[in-house]
Amino acid sequence: MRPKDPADDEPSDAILVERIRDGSPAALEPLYRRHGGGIYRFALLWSGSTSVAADVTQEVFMHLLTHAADFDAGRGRMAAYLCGVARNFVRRQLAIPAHDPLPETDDDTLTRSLRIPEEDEPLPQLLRKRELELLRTAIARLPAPYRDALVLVELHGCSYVEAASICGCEIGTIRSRLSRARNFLAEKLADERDASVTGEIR
Amino acid sequence: MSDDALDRKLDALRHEIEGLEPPPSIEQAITAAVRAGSRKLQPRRWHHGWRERWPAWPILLAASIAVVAWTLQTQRGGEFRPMPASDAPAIATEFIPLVPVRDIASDEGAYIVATRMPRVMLADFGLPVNPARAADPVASELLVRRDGTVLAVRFID
Repeated sequence: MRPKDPADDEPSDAILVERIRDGSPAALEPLYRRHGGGIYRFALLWSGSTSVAADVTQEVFMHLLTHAADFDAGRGRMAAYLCGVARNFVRRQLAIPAHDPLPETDDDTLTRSLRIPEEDEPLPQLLRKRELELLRTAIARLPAPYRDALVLVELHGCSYVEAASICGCEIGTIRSRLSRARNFLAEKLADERDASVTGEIR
Repeated sequence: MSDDALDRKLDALRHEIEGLEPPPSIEQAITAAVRAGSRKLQPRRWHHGWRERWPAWPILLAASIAVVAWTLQTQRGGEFRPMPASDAPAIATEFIPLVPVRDIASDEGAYIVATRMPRVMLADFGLPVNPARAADPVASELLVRRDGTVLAVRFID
């Protein structure tokens, strides 16, 4: 017999939301402890900014306080629901329309638009941290629909179904956007590596 | 760059952010807002038994009006007033007490926590809510005692 895990006694997300709905806002605190980190990381990846991520995280849980009735446990996980709310808030903070169209540019133009300005460094550094910074910056500069797919599925662990539900589109659309997002990132990072090796000044 | 190489980089990024947590100030603000809102978010089930309780309505209404009038008179809270021009272009309310005023006056260890509240909470304090901005949070400041008790709130718009 498996030893009893203290987590077994913790109420589920659905029960906690029900308590908020019934007038016990204190139930928000365990929900925050459970999901706050994930929402913060999601917003950070999406926006590339720690201050935006902090603001959005706070807004998401304040929103839950008064809109707990909007969550339907039968339609999906709380984590995915909160991601959807966070996505709307982070878009609002960055002034990106909720359903912005895909960019009307060819791939070359888009790749150029992802170019990251070189910092004033004496020599390009091929350190892991720098590479991750480049990757994070490149993700934050992806067009919003591609960023949605990449951050939700690749980095936040959402299923295609959840991502499609959050973005309000078909599963196939998520797949194709994810594929394009990966292509753009791969090109971008390869360009950066080449530039670092040759010392090219952008 | 190959798919494998990109996967490795994405893995590394996932690993790097795994331990990242939001700043502690967010949890403090949420805790404070929860405590401030606990009185406001009681379930509104009065309508279920209103027929049984209707004789109490006039008394309840009169008492509410008296309390609100007294609060407005003594605290001048509840109406948006311009802040000094040197501070900010924002409009703010006075601090609206959530506990008896004597408790606030006798408290020396309180501090202010900046946060954002759902705009609909303005209505709970009798303040107007612009329907066009109902979905936007409203900036607010909570006067919080060291033990976490929220003493007062003001809204900045």
